[in-house]
Amino acid sequence: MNEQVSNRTKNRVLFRWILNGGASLNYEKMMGLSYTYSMLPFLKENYKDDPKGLKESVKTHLQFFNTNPYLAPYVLGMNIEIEEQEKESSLKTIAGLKTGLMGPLAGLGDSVFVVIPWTIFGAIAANMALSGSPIGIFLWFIVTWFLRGLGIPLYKAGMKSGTSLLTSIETKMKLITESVSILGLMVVGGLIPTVVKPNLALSFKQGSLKLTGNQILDQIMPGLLPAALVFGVYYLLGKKIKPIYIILIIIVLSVGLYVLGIMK
Amino acid sequence: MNVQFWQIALIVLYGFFINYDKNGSMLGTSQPVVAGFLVGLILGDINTGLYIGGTLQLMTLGISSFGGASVPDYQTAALIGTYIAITTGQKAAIGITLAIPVAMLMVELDVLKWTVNIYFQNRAERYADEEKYNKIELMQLCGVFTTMLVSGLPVLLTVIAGPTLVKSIIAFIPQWVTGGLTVAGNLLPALGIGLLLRYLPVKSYFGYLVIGFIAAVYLKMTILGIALAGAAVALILYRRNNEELNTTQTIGGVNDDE
Repeated sequence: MNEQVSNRTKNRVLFRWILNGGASLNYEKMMGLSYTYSMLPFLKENYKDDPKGLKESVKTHLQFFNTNPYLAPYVLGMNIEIEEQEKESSLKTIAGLKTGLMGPLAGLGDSVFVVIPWTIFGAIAANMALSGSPIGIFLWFIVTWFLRGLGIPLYKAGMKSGTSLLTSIETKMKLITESVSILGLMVVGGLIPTVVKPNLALSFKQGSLKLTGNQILDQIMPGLLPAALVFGVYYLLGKKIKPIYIILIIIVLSVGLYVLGIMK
Repeated sequence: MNVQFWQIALIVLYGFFINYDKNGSMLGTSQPVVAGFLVGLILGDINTGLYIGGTLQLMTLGISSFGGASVPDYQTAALIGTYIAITTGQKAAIGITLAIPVAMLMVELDVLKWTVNIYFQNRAERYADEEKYNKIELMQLCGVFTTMLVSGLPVLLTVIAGPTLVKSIIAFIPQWVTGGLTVAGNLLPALGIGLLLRYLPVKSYFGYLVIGFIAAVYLKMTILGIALAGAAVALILYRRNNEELNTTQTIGGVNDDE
């Protein structure tokens, strides 16, 4: 074993990433600058007596890098372990490894760590907030901090595995993504009638019987209008219409419906 | 209401922090509902904050940015909308009405940031050639600073321009705008859900979507309840697929629908 870099320095790398991971994003190299910034304490120590190696390594790390910030510690850990052993002779391998990993990790991380938890806990927090309680927000904080904290074991796992564990983890993560997607679909199914709330202003009167538009629709099927609206949007998105235009369409439509007295 | 200096200072600090937290530390303060709550807490009107934040949160549900796509910035908009609604003593609906255009305009600032940061990236590459590594760290910090400016500047401007200016703008907003945007607030969550569905494997697992829908409309289950039931189903399927994987050693059964 060839352990030259202190654990304290290695911890600084993770700490820097967690604080600043995606905070200097740019269109050209995405997270390249952040990655280099995080790695610098390690690199300076690793190439103490080798200024040429240091320069080469820094220039390698400044290249394009873009992945899910929650899972990036795994890449950092792996990178550090290999580079500590092999020095600049490993740079080509590492560049390839980073490029190969960032795609799959982004796909898995974005759904399991971002989209699905944000949807579920965002909906819970928002619904509780509308009824005047901040408890849902605290619940969301706890989940966020837990997911963020997973960076530490992921970093350690990256260091331990080198490249060997990669394939088995990728298969496992695929299974997890699929299961979590099913959870996501069920929650989204429940969200449709809960958060989309078209409110009809029309009402019908016949003799002593008075029905609001909402009641009539509910008798046909509760949640009919929300479901129709969601599938309309889903269809438009499938036609490659940009979300920002759909927002504008909905706003114009809403103003029209309000002025005509159909919705309130 | 009379706003104290410490309250303004905290709001501005939070304004600079919110976009940094979104991209950097990710502690969870960069969400519309949290922004509404925190501003309400600082200004002493939690209910208005929760209402504005919660409404905007539902509008943005499922909308998140990946790989450099800029999306409307509802969290900073929630901060500004809540601040204005509370300090001018307006109804929450006014705060939401003002927040929506702010969120849309913020997209331009975000694009600007991504572009300006290319300069710092290029400078860092030059410093690498010159072996000035401390300067690379400085470039990173410059990039972090522009990220903070994206949300910090609009909040600072709001606080400086102050409720007086905004009040005169509010006086010009006709009833059909606020009324129309209230309707829009009820309909807009459909967009986020549509986006999410584009992201999830709807075609392979349509049945689960229907189960969730039925649980909400007929069984009147809350979202937390549905999430727990969904977690149970996911766990069962995960176990089963995992066993299958161990016995057959193939991953042919995994369905990728993206």
